[in-house]
Amino acid sequence: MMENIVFFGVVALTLLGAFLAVSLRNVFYNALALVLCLFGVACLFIFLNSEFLAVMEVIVYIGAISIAIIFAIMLSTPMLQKTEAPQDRLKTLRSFVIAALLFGGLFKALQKTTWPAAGVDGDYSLHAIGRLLLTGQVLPFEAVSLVLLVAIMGALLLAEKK
Amino acid sequence: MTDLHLFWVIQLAPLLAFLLIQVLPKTINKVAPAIGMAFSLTAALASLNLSFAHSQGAGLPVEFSRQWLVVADYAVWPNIPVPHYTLSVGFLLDPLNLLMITLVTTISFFVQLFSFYYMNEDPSRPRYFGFLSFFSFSMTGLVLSNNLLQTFLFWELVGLTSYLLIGFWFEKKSAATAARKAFVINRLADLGFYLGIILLFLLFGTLGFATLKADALRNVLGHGTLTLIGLLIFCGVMGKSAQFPFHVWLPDAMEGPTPVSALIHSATMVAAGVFLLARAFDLFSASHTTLLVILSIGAITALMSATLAAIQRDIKRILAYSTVSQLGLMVMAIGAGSAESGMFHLSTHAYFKSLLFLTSGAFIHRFHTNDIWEIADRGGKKDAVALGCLAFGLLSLSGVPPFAGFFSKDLILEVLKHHGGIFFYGVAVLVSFLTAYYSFRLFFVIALSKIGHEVRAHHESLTLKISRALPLFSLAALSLITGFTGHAFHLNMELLITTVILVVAGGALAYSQFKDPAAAEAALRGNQGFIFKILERKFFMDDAYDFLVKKVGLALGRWLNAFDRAVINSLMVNQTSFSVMRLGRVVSRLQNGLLQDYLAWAVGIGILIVFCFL
Amino acid sequence: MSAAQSLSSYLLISAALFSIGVFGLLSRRNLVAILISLELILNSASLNFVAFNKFSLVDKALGQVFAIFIIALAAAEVCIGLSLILLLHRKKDSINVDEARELRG
Repeated sequence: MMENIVFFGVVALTLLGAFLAVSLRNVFYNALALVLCLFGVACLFIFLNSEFLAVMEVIVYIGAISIAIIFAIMLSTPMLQKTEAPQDRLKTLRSFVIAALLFGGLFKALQKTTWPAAGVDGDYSLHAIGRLLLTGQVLPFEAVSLVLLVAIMGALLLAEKK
Repeated sequence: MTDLHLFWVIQLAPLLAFLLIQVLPKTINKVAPAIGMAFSLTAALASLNLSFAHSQGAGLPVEFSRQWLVVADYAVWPNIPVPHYTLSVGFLLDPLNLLMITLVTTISFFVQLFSFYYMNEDPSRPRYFGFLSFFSFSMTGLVLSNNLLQTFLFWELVGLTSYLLIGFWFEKKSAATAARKAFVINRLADLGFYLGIILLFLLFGTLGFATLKADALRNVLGHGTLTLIGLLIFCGVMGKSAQFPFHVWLPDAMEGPTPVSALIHSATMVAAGVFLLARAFDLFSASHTTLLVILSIGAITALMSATLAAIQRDIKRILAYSTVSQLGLMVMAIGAGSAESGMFHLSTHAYFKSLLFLTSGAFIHRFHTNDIWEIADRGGKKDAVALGCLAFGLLSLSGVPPFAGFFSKDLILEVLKHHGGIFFYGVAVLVSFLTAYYSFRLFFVIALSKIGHEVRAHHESLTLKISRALPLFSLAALSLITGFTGHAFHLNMELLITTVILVVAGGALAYSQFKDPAAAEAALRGNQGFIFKILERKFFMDDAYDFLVKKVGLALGRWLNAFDRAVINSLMVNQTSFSVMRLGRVVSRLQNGLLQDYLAWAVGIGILIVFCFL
Repeated sequence: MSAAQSLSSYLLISAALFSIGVFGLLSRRNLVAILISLELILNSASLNFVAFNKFSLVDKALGQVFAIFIIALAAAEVCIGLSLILLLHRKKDSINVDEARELRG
């Protein structure tokens, strides 16, 4: 019972964060709402027995990515005056309809599908993740590291003042 | 050397000469004539070798054939029992083209030799000798080929070289026009030839001369079809051999250098039509209708151009019309069913007519005019070599025994008398009379005139003198002896008398009119009679073509132009492009540069697809 | 079974996150906001992976590994995205996506 209350609280936190992240006019508030949402997702990871991921989510997403976004906002827009120009009503409506349809479609697909089930017990440990990263999934692992390298170099090149 | 080697030598030596002359560096292109002559001498010797090896038709025919294409190995045409369609390439040698190949290569050599004299001041001699060699290559290919398609290929090549050589002095407007006229008229005629070949191949399945036999053709094809095919192919002959109504290009072709006229437009290329008639004789003789048409066309041509030759002042035009007329006689002989007599006249005519042309070239080169009265005025009769050879050639042309022309023309008269009917015999007799008349007229005008402003010959080196005289003498000798080589050599007393009477009558008439050429010229200028006018306008043939092209053709062209502009261009082409443009404008609104619009489309369509699967 | 222990509740949350992300992606004009929406979408995907990892996989490390990959790729994407935004800001003095439409037809 207690678990459910906490769970719904976390879900509400996540979805509220997500909603605020896309709907507030001020980009800075959006970024802060994103932090809230990401925190909720990290909590959900704990519910899913993946504590390591939850930590990573907080460190990388909140600690690095969100901060980078906030930096970008600071760099590109004088913070407080930047309330966006009024939204195009039609565009908002269109986006809403598409998003609603998308959710409806996903919901319906979810209902119609029976997912394969396996036991929830198993080795969730960091040890197992590390072993898998350097054995079975070593190729994607290396590919991702290469992508990261290229991304860093590309970012440096792009942001360089000409 | 085997026959095949000789064939290759004859065929490729001129081509090699052509290619060598093309790649010759500019600094040493003076040797171009030597190259041309050397290789054409090689070809001539090879063909002489060939003709000695097969003298009296021993071991003939020889065929080297290689299958080239199997077009279809089943019957593609209903009701025609042709099991397969194959095309081959190869050489075929029989008595007919043994004669022809010897003739082509020897005359080609003599003409190149004479050209050395005639063209020795022309700056673009390498081009000239290159074209001449290329012509020899094409002509030998035409003569040696063993099937109609290969013949057609070389037929077009000789047409091309003819065009190039008529227009050799292309900076002269009249030469360029004449070359174009010859080319266009020949293409028109060759269209018929080509259609005929296609039809024959469709219905008969093979084009090899060895298989085109009258019986085989009659077994497969009906009389109407055979007539159609024969007439279509004869259409090409009419173009190449300058038969009515396609004869108009030949007199204009005299704009080319005179040795070219001697080689191409009298001895070899224009004779190719007659040669083809004889070569594929079974194709024509399989239908008597075709033969009758051939006979009539030949008669019209022979008579018409003989009358025209009688009033010309330009020495080359006289000879050109005479050529057309003689070709008409050959065509008549073949139309009457005797390919041998036609070919015999072809061979004798080739020698004496090329002699005559070279002689006229000798006159023209020395006196710088084409007009016979002016040649006479500038001292034509003092040029003994040329005058003697002119007399030789003219005697042969008019059919005086024992010159070559006598035998062959006699044979034609005999054939026409026995197989052509009285009407065509009468035409031939009239043509012979006219031939004698214009021959003697030409001779008398030059030989009997008083010399006015004499032109002294430039000092000529010994080489030039030899290259002038040697071909003339050789051809004169040949035009004397070829008469005795005919297979059907015999004398018919009655015909002999007829011929002699005709020649004497023609000569007498010419003498009575032209014993005083200056007076005759004055009389000629004064004469504006009706018949004379018709002759002056060449029976209005050029006017008819003019009318056809300028009035009918242009009207048609204008109409087609309007149609093209209104229907094709604006309605079809432009509307197509406009509608594409309109569509493009509509579609390009999608490409509005707004990132989120693209995304909306993508996600929206993606959702639709997801819903389709749900 | 409690909601916290059923696969479909996580999938539903993930679907909701995804839809919200798409909504933001389509409606916002600020490029940084669009980037934020993208992060939401990526998170919904990694939530899916981890949920399936718990309820449908035998090897409990596999789904987590892929979530790690997603986090890494998200870092790369943000890195590039932000530098592009900076570049655009420098060029046009604006980060409004509607103003960057030079490639329109």
